[in-house]
Amino acid sequence: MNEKPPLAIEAESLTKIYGSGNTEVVAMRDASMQVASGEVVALLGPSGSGKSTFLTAVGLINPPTSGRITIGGRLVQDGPNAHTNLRSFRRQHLGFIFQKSNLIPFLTAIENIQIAMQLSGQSSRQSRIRAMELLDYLGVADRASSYPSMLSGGQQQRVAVARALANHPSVILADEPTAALDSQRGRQVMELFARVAHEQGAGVIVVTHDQRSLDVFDTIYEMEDGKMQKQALQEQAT
Amino acid sequence: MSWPTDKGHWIPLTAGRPLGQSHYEMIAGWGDVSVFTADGERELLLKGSVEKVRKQIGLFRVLLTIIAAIIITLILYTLTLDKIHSIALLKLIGAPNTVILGLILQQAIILGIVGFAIAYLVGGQLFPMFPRRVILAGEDLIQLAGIVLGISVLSSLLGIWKAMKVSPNEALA
Repeated sequence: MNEKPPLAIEAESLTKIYGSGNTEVVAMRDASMQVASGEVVALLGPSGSGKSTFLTAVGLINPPTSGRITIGGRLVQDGPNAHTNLRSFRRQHLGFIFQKSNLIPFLTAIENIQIAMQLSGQSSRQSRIRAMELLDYLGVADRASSYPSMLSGGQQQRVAVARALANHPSVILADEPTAALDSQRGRQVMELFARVAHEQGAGVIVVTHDQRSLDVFDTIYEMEDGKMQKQALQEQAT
Repeated sequence: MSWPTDKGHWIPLTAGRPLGQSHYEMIAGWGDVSVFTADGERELLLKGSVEKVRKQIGLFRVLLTIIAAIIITLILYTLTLDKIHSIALLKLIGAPNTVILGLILQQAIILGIVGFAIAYLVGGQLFPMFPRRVILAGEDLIQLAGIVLGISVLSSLLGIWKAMKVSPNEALA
């Protein structure tokens, strides 16, 4: 009998309304999603459909107008009200990866990873060991001392993934991480997410336009006009 | 020559002879004049001109300090704006405000120390070329270091305000 893995994140009926009266815009309407630990979820949809709004809401950056967000079994956001120190919670439980790698330009690859751990109170030595392990795991250990400007787009994304993994997050959120990469490297990064999710047990949500790598994902959601729909493309593909 | 007294009497004055104590007291009683001895007059003139120069230098120094503070403020603000994306990113990955505050203050203090060191070294080379002798006493240097440190910290407030205001959302832009 297959035991269902615990939920990494659960978003219930998230709604986000900007403005009020005549200028009111509903960016997201009753969007719900459940992601289990070790599951890789793709979030598709055209520009302006509310994908980024959803991602910033579940990333505890931009609170929803209504709805609840539970991460690792703990209710952290109920409508606009936070149930914890969100910045501290983000540091400990969430990993972010962006369209551009968003590495800090004046830090080397290894320092970019270390800083995430040092913010969580790890010593310089501990964080260096863990950062080297991650760089090695992601195949860019030889670029540890390089600055982001000296790395290719794919290498920068790998370092960004390493930084996202640094604090053993329960959820990883990626916003169009392959947009700046060619198709081959984009595929490699998507496969990397799947590997990370399965091996590290993190729930991964990837916002993407890239239809070519959908077979990598366990579940696919689609947003349109702020509404979320679950699809079963993975089953169709196999 | 003679001067009228308040009682209508005349005081006889002789050229080259100083006035007596009774004369000083009588003239001081007139209310619209001050009375000085020759030594008192010399001291007044000397003190007056020194005081005037002291005030001029003081004003000049205050102006220079204000200009330096404005320049340091703008430099620190520009440096903060340059790093605003990284600051937003740090907030996004969970850096507490104290860490960001520390980064900006560290930058400000380093700028102050470097500025002080350059001023000290360049001053040492330039002072012998001045028409007057310039002496920098130890206490003055300590006082100056304190002022530089204070200005550096105060100048970073604008940058700190900007950094505290930035939203983590800006890292996604």
